[in-house]
Amino acid sequence: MIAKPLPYLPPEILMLIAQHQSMADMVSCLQVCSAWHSAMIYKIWRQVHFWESEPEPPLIINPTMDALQHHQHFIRHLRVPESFANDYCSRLQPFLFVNVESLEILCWSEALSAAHFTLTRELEVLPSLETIHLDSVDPTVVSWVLRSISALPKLTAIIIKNTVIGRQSALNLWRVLPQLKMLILEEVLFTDMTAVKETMATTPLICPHLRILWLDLRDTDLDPFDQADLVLACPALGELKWYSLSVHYYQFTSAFIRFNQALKEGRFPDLSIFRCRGDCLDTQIATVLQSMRLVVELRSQANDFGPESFLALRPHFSRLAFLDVQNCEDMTSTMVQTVLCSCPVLESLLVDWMWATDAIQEEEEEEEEEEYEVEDDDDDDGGEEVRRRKKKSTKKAWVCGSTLRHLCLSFRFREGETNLQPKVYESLAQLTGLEGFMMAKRYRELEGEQGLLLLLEHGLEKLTTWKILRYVNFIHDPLQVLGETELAWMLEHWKDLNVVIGSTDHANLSTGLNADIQRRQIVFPDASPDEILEI
Amino acid sequence: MPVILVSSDAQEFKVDKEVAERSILIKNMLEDVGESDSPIPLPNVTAAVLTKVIEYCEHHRNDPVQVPDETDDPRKRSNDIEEWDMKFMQVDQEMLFEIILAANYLDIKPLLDVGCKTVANIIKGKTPEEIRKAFNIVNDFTPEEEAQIKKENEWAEDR
Repeated sequence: MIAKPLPYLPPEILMLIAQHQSMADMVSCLQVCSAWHSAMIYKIWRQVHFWESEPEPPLIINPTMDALQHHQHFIRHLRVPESFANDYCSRLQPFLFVNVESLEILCWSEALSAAHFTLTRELEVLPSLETIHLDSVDPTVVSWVLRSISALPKLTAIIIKNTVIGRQSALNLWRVLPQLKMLILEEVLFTDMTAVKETMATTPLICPHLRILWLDLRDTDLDPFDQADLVLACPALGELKWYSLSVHYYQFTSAFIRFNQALKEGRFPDLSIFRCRGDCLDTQIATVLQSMRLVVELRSQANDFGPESFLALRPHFSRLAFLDVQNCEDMTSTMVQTVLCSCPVLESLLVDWMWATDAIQEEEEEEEEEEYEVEDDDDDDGGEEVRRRKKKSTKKAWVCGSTLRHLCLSFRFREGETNLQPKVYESLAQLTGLEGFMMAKRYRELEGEQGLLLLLEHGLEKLTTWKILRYVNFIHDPLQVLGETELAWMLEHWKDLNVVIGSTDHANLSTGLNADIQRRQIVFPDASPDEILEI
Repeated sequence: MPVILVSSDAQEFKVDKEVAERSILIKNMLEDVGESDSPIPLPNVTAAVLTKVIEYCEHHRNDPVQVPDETDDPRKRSNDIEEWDMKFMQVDQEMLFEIILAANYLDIKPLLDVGCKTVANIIKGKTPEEIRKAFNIVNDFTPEEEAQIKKENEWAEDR
């Protein structure tokens, strides 16, 4: 008997189904019938990431030239790897990529491949290009790419990382700055800025659209004064990352003062994300924070964030989403507690340490609070009273319990306090939205002191409220050893956990647990917290 | 105040307003019309399907309004279907497709999502022929065309 045909699913629903599919399943669906083919084909070809050719037998294959030509109008994003089989890429023609909006060239070796030449020599035939991303490419590739960027009318974002930019390339880059919305320079070395400076002397730079600017440069001919010129030319800035090198200490300080002055004058009304590292002083960061209308993200990773900055940050607490002040030794335990209790939309908090007593909320304290309130009614406001009320206010619950997604922190116990372990776990259990938990680096002088240990006997089992946790990282904590029972517990209760960073003795794990690890595709990479945030 | 919904085969269903308003289509309709006792005709939904849809809306009547998920997050692909929803979706494939179509027409995003995830899970790991068999789809490709599609898109399978 022939079964009754199923109702017809319109293309928009097939597209929704495709959103929940792996690429392999989507390729199978393409072959089912012409209706399914035409609804799903665009998704297969939207991004083409070329891979370097594998030795025989090829495990990963690249699309054939015929297929590329056939589907060229679907291609929006292109990624080119380090090295490419020459016979394959010499046949790649730029006309195949007329609709490409973003081009990513990644190259960890100094070797130049024919693909880079083929694609970059005639960049002007990629008329739809909006984003260029160059990572660790040879300076020759940089110069090829930058040579033709002025012919790209839709170009709005340039990301360049880990490379060298020469005299002519710098000039080419500066010429397109006025049309950009995003410029990210990370670990970039400018060898010769004289051509840029000569031009700028006659035509001042204005970048009216630039919203995102990262300046993280190696020892460079673009000194801090030039960097400040660039920053001051971008009135629409929303996000500024400005890292300094210690060799430029004095120059950076005065460049930073110029920036600060402009900020005070209200020249960056939209600036809300600020990252600095290097030679900023606590007072300088404080001035920046005072002048910004809105701070949603602050990263300051080199010993500079302190009491002044903290005070200046307080008015922004209601909107603060991201705070990274690792390695800032002046960040105290009380400040951490205040942040946790006062930032209702905080998503990421990356700090070094906190006293266990600050982290927990004790019931006794609440009772005492009531007593204070009685005193409140009787007494006039004395100095003593203010001090006590302050104490009371630091014992509030964490207000970011449901919004906090990433936490990097170590808990320290004073001598004789180790019985507080379960209470610290109770506090941590409030963080129901946590996706990642990192044990912060512990300072050397802390050796011998007790830290929080992820052990079932200490209260790990209280953390069943971490329902969406994806990764844990305790690589920086030398005291932390992940036992087999603990790992098994984590796998059982944290269903989304797929990254565990830290030393685990794989060889000695029971076979059952190992099977579970394989099934869940759990990885144990050695990576820095920053890299993990990107996973 | 209850709302009366009328299926394409003229059956009337009396449901709580809060339940009916899980459907954005009905919610907007009620807002446009204002207070009114007149039944709402749903000419695209049969009584059998409407019964299922109402069952879903009853169960999820107190769910918070879903925030549109803009990120096309590969980690959230498939599988994560609540237990009750999973059981609810254990119907024959005709009904499954009908529920998806009704959810689309009535604009009930969470139900549409669960339906699409269920279909994606059925497809998972199957060959094109097995998929056709599962959903009773007629192959309108010639063998040559099918071979060409397979060959041209093979590269994407490992991406």
